[in-house]
This record gives sequence, structure tokens and C-alpha cells, in this order.
Amino acid sequence: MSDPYDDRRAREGVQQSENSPSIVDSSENLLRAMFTPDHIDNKGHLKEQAIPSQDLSERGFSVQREQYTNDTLNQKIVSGWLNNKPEREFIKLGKISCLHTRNINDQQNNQAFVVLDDAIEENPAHAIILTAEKYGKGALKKLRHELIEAFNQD
Amino acid sequence: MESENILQTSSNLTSYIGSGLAAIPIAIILTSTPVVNADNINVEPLIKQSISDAFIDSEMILIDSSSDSNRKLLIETIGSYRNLDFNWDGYNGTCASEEAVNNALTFISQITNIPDALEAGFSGDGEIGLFVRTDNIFIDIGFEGNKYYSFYAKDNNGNEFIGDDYLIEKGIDHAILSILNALLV
Repeated sequence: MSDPYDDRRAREGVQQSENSPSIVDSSENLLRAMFTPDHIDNKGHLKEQAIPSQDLSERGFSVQREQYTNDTLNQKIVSGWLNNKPEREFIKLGKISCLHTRNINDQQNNQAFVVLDDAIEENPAHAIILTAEKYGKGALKKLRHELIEAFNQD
Repeated sequence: MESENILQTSSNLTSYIGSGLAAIPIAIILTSTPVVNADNINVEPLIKQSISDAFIDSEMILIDSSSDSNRKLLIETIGSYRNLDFNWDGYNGTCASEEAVNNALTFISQITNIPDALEAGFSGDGEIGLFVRTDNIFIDIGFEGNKYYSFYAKDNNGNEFIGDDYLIEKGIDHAILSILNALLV
């Protein structure tokens, strides 16, 4: 059985989905819909729990590539979230630069996150953020914190 | 030796890591074999109360804690994670397990004074979180429902602490307690 963490950094250079327009370039911006109260803390910052650890390490944390998405696609995503929980309120599309994401380093000073194209037919702008390798739970929380801070700043 | 002692004797170290024991400096982990023993474990609960007795029924805690509004809010918020529908987050998110809720509540029961800055959150992967974000302090503690907690924290001097799978019944890590106490000043 192959190691699911094998070659994640190398995969950034190879288009992952035939539905994708291209590999994700570092110059791109990535978007993620943010809702209250699930994602926003009492001070208006993105909560850590808005990015599930398991998504980062295994499934991939879903984002939209800004230059390939459009209002219709974004609205569809937001509507889906609101339908799941009527008391939710859409706040904004949070933005993070792909370069910023790729520049977050782990304790060994290696790239901690990769950004991979992950388009499906109905959503060519879909991409995922994944850890580049397997990290301990606490170490992953530290890296997630840096990712959240980037979302809060960008 | 607890993490505060390590901090005092290793003032040039800024990162700490641990695995089920009191936080240990990352630099030591990376450069030498970590020396840990039972003395490193913070086993003294702050509340002299049986954890198992306290959490037979979380409603009991709610009543007992009515004088502490943030404790009450945290208990209510964490309890509400049990009632989320499948796919509540749009990404096949599950509700919180009974174990994860009880683990988080057990942890909270060990904090004598709950800082106002301590908040709860929940991820679609089932992990309950307690976190603090101020200008100088950050804490992120996760509960997966397996009787353990993991964390990343940063104190107001920039020292970082990392811990994997600390047994909740053994008490709260000294570094976390120190940071929580600093929020009360």
C-alpha cells in the first residue's frame, strides 16, 4: 500500500484533474467562503476550527481559485452552506495567496502545505490545500494557525 | 520538572514539544534523546472533585457552574455540537461524539477560573476545539474523543508549546495553565 504522503510536493507540478485549467500557480489567489458563527470568533477572526485538521492532512481543504471561479459558482457554494444551517450568515469570501500558503514552513524549514488543482466538471476552479507530509497533532495545529493568520491578513 | 522550569533554565529556547507528557523544548527533542519521567506529568487537578462524578450528567455541571457565565457558555456551546446534522458544514461534517463532548467538558472542569477569551469551536472532522486569540497569546486545544488532547500554544513572551495526545485525566499541562492564568491578570 502506497504512502498517501508520498510525493505531495512533487504533485504540485503535475496537473491533477483533467477538468482543471492548469496546475495552481503561486501567483493565484485562493478563496474560501466564511460563515458565522461556525467560522468566526468573538473578535471577527477566522476560527482555527474553520479548517479541519483532517482536511489538511488527508482529504484536502477545499478552496476556489479566484481567477477561474465566478459569481455563479461562488453563489452556488454559499447557498449550499446556508441551506445546511439556516441560522448561518455569510460573511465573506476569505482570500489567501497561493504563494503565502506555499511559503509556510514546518519546523525543519520545509514547505508545509501544497496547493493542488482538484477540479470537477461542474467546478473547474476547485483546488485543495494539503499538508506536504505527515505532522504530529500539535505541530499541525501550529501550521494551521499560520494558515489561519494568512487568511486573516490576505 | 515541569515546563515552566524548562523555560526558566532554557531561556534561549522558544519552542516546546511533547507527547503525552509535560511540554518539552523542541530544541532538546531535535538535538538529544528527550528525558521524560513520571515527574514530568502534571497530575494535580485544580478542582478537587472527581472528574467521573462531575460528568455523569453534563446538566449537573451547568447548574454547578451558573455563577461562571463563560463556563456556562462554553458548556452550552460544546454540548450543542452533539446536535449538528450530518453535512452541517457542507463537506460531510459529522456531529460531535459523546466522548469528544465529555472529554472537552472534563478538561474545562479542571480550569478554576475560565478566562473570557477562551472560546469553543468545532470542526467537520469531529474535533472539538478550545482556543484563545489575543494580541500576544494564542492557544488551540483539540479533543477528538479519545480521552486525550493535543495543543499548540504561544505565551505573551513568544514561547511556543506543542503537545500530542496528553491524557485528560492526568490534568492540564502546566504551560497551558500558565498561559490561561496570564489571561486573568
